[in-house]
Amino acid sequence: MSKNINRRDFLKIGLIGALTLSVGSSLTTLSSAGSGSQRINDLQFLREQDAEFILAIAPIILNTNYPGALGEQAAERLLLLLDKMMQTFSEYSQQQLLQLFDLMSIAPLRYLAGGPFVPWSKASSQQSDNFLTGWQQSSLSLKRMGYSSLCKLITMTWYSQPENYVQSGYPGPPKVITVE
Amino acid sequence: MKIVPEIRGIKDPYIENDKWQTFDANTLSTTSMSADVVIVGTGAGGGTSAEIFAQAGLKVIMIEEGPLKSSKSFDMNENKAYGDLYQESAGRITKDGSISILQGRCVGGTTVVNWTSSFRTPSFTLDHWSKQYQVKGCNEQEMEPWFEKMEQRLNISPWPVPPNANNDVLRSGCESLGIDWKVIPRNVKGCWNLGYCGMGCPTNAKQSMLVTTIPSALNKGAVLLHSAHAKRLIIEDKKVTGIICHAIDRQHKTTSKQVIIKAPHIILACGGINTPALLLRSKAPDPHNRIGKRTFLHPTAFSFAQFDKDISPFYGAPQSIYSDHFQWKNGVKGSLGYKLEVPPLHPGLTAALLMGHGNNQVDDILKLPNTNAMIALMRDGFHDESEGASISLADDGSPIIDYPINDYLWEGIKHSHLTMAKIQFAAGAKRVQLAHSDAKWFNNFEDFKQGLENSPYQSSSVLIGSAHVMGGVAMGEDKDFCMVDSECKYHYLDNLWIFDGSVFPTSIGANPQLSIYGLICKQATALLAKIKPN
Repeated sequence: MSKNINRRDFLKIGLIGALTLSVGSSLTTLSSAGSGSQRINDLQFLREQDAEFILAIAPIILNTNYPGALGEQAAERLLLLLDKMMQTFSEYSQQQLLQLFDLMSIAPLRYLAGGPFVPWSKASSQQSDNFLTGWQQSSLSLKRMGYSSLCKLITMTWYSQPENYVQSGYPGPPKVITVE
Repeated sequence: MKIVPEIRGIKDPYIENDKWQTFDANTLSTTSMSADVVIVGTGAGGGTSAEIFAQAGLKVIMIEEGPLKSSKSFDMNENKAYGDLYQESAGRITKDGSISILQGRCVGGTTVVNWTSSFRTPSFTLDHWSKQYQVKGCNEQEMEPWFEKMEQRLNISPWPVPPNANNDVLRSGCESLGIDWKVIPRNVKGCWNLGYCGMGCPTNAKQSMLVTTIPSALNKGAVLLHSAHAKRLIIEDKKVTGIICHAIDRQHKTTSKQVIIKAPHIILACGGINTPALLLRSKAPDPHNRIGKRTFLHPTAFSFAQFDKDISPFYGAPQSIYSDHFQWKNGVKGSLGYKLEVPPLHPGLTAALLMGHGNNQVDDILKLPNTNAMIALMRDGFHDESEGASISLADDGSPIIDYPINDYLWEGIKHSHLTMAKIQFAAGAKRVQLAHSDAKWFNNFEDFKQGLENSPYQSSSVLIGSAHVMGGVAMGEDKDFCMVDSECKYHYLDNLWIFDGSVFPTSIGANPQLSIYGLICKQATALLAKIKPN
């Protein structure tokens, strides 16, 4: 219950403004009802539509470094690691993330917030890039927070993977030989 | 800098000592435990006090919400270290997302993951506490023996080895500009100069609580209960009669498995943010509504520089040079002072700090071996306009950290950006990045200055971090502001002491670990004398 109230508050004060309040509230409710239990792979926190969103922006953020040496495993590795990390976040941070993901999953709201009208799985690179740049340079602090959080989470996860050390010129840590 | 190719011959004290009483709350067979003293939290404050009480022959239980991880599992993998050893997997942020907070969450607390810098509390800070908050018995002379004692206990001394190239940028830049700099004292013994302090020391050289005071307490029969979240204090008639703890799973979530711990003397040492949150959850008496107010973070500004030469900022003692040149320049209560240091740069953390995305970020991260970063730690809490954060609770009782950034703080950050860029160029940097979300680089100081003037200083546009959490349960005799007295006893409860950095009435103006060790060594010794007079 409190989550729904928070979602409405977020839309109201945050991104869309009072004009779209009524639309936002009803659509958010619809989305919550429709998306509750959809999960892919072993994801616990991220829902299917959230995974699609992340996979649409990650290749733009990571650019030519994606998928890198991880190749076909890149998407799954990234999602599972993000999912694992997000599960450890505080309730408040998790709610903020879910609100952002909700907003990104509803076509008219996503469009008003600077995303593509088509679903993220069908978005072009240009559309994803425009979205990211728009949020990076926004005058709204919530958009800037969304931008910096998404970039930080994705890049921190990505570049800390040993397979990707080569992309940062990092030779890696010393080898540990354990004594039993 | 050449890396040590392999680490061999390290013994893990937690595997060697099978007589130590360490328990995982998830597999605990009992639902209640009791002792003479129970200490919640095993970081700098909890570890220091556990040793003092256990060595005196008292029965001690240490409670830790994080897991027990020791050298055998410290494999220098960033992702694993953040998940195992940090609050919220190193993803803890303030309410509006402006400040990212690195805080430990494991047996030994933040001492397991800090960068070993060990400074005494500056005398300006101690004087300010005494004048402003009526803190008694903590002036420079009174604190000196306690700092000396803990410096000996944890082998703290200035780093005798030449700084790595990353730290040397700060040294040489300051040197050529006539800015004073010094060598950082570190709490290490037989340090291998590897650079992985932030991921758990793989050689047990760092004298964290994990390898010093906690083993010493365990040797005397103290009990360590880890993966146990202190949910609530049971408070009856001005006394804490027990602590309700819940086992915590691998996703950092509390389970229904409960254990109640009882002791006549209760010590909270969960650190800033978490000690106030536990008091708030417990509805501890708080007549002036002060719990969690004035929580300080040393908000930290960054500056990145690229050099032609190799810096390898991922190897070598992470922090060995500092400058306090800008710390007290404008007076204790004047415009914001700051300490200059450098952070270690491993690829995961660095990528998150190098803001921006896409093509430019890919170029920036690839130049990591030639990159230096400098940091400026803002001394918050001294000026009237520096009130820090306030802690409140989410529905599930977890803390929300609200740190609004005002013009006073922005001015300090802006000033430090200019200072750091000047030092980096003076040290020979080819270009310097203004740590804003558009991540622009500048080839000389004049252009940098121009770029800075044209950049907005607003939340989530400017990179700000924190690795120091202080305050929230201030110490002092002024009850309008302070929650604990000058001996860190809770003003409104008879058997509750707060022994951690949350008692600091302001930030420290230096990396806080030795400030916690010294103060808590003093307070725990005084409490011991009351519990067990010789």
